[in-house]
Amino acid sequence: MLLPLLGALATSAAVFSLLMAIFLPAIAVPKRLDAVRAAALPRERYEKLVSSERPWWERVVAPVAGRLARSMPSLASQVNEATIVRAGLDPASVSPAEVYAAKLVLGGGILLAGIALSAVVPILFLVALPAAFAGYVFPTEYLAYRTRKRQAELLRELPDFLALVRPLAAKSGLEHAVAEVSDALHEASGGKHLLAEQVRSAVAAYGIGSDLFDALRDIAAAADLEALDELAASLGSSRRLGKGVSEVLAEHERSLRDDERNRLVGSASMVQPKLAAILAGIYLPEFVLLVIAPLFIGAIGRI
Amino acid sequence: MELIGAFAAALAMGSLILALAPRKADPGPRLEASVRGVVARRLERSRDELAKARLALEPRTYVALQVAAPLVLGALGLVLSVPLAVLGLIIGLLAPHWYVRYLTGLEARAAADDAPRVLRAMVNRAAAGGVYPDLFAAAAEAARHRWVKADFNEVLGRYFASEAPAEALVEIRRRQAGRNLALVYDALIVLTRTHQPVSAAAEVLGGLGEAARSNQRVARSAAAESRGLRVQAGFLALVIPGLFVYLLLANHALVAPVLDTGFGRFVLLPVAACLEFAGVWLSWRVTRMEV
Repeated sequence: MLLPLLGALATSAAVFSLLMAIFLPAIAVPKRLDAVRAAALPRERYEKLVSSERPWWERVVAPVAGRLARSMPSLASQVNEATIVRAGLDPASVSPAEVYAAKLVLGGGILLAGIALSAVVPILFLVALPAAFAGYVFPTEYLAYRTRKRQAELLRELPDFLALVRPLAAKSGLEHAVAEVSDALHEASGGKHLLAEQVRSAVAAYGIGSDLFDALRDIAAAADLEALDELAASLGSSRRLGKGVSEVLAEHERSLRDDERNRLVGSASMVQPKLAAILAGIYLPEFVLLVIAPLFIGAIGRI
Repeated sequence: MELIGAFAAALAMGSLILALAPRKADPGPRLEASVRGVVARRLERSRDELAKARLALEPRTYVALQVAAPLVLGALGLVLSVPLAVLGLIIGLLAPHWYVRYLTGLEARAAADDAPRVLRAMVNRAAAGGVYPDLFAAAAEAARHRWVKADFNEVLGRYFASEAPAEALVEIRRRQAGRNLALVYDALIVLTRTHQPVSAAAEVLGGLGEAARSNQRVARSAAAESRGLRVQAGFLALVIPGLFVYLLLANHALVAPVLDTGFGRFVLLPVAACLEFAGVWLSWRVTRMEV
């Protein structure tokens, strides 16, 4: 038992040294002082600089996945770029190929670890198979989770944002009100207000000559947020037709709040079946383990 | 098989070290600075959490609690078996944070009920003329919940201490855990930042009244829907451990295979504990219908 372990450690040291010798120049992180010169840094150097701020698990998977993705660009076709954008990530930093490579690395890594550990505990090989599958689906499921979370947050923030913009828009104009409210919300939340952050980017686009409503529609498309898209389209057409902006804002706010209530009713109706599933899938097996199994084991012992 | 295992372990370890290596190569912060950075970040997060929960607890004590809880629960689990110690460690890591969040949510929901009342008071005061401190005073007077009252009194105090109202409001806004009060503070921040006269504030805050009432209606429906379901979920969570404890006390021999055998301590009990934990967590997630 001890000899394979020592062998594994020695081999790992050898593999590490070899890999470091090959890849060290490519993975060296720029000095922190380079942050001052960040504007002049090439993109990939800048990404490496900020990569040390990323969570450990991302840093564990990213180097291997990135390399695999670069050597096999066809992997990109397996994951949609829009999925990454909707999850709030920049496809230039996390490419579709990298996401797919991360799936392969996680799935393969867990399987390899399972095989390795099965030398010590044989049953771990069986555990490794579903775990490897979970590792394989994790990156895309994580992106989907981020997307759902962002959409829900944006949908929750939108009616309150409109409630603030509406009275100010009547006084100082829609564009001005949108800019002021988004700035104030961004500052008040310490940059955590997602919608304010998105709207600020639309206002920035407006500042350099784009149409505000088109910029808002772009944001809506990026977040896959139909309500914001409809709002931007309605505001654009009301501006063209000369209809009151305030009515459009009020109408959308009302409709968003109705939707919110409907979503609540919908989710409430799903709770009972979900609780039944928890009862059947979790509490029933727990009952078997804690009450039935000991009785059964005791009975067999007596026989 | 052993050779494959050793090679796979070597490859996995090499990849892991390689992946972690960039931070080591970073000549910037050393280990001590990194640890200090982690502690500082945790303290900052704890300060935010405690400020929201209005708990008179030092952030350092809270961080110490977050470190001690997994160790204590892990040690308790170790009395029975190693898998239970791991589970205790995980629960200990999550428990302080969850408990503070639970306390915050409870109080925040009660405080949120004050939002329409506070808005009405401010609108009435603004309609009668005056300046922003008059609105804050009216809000503090109308508020019934101690958090809301204390917050508006603090804004008022800071205003009279010559602090810019927008800055004071931004700081107090960050403590708001409820949606309605956050909306009230957001409106006040927008109004003070854009230097709107109080007459305009009456209009803006009046418009928010309907939004706050609507938010409150939705929150109340959610609370009413989830209350009964939570009781049901709580009952489900308690009934099986309760039955197990009853059997343990009434007739120890019946459940002896769980506590007195290796199979029971290393397989049955840890798996049952995992299932119980998963059941409580899933039930809480399913019945949480916050909007």
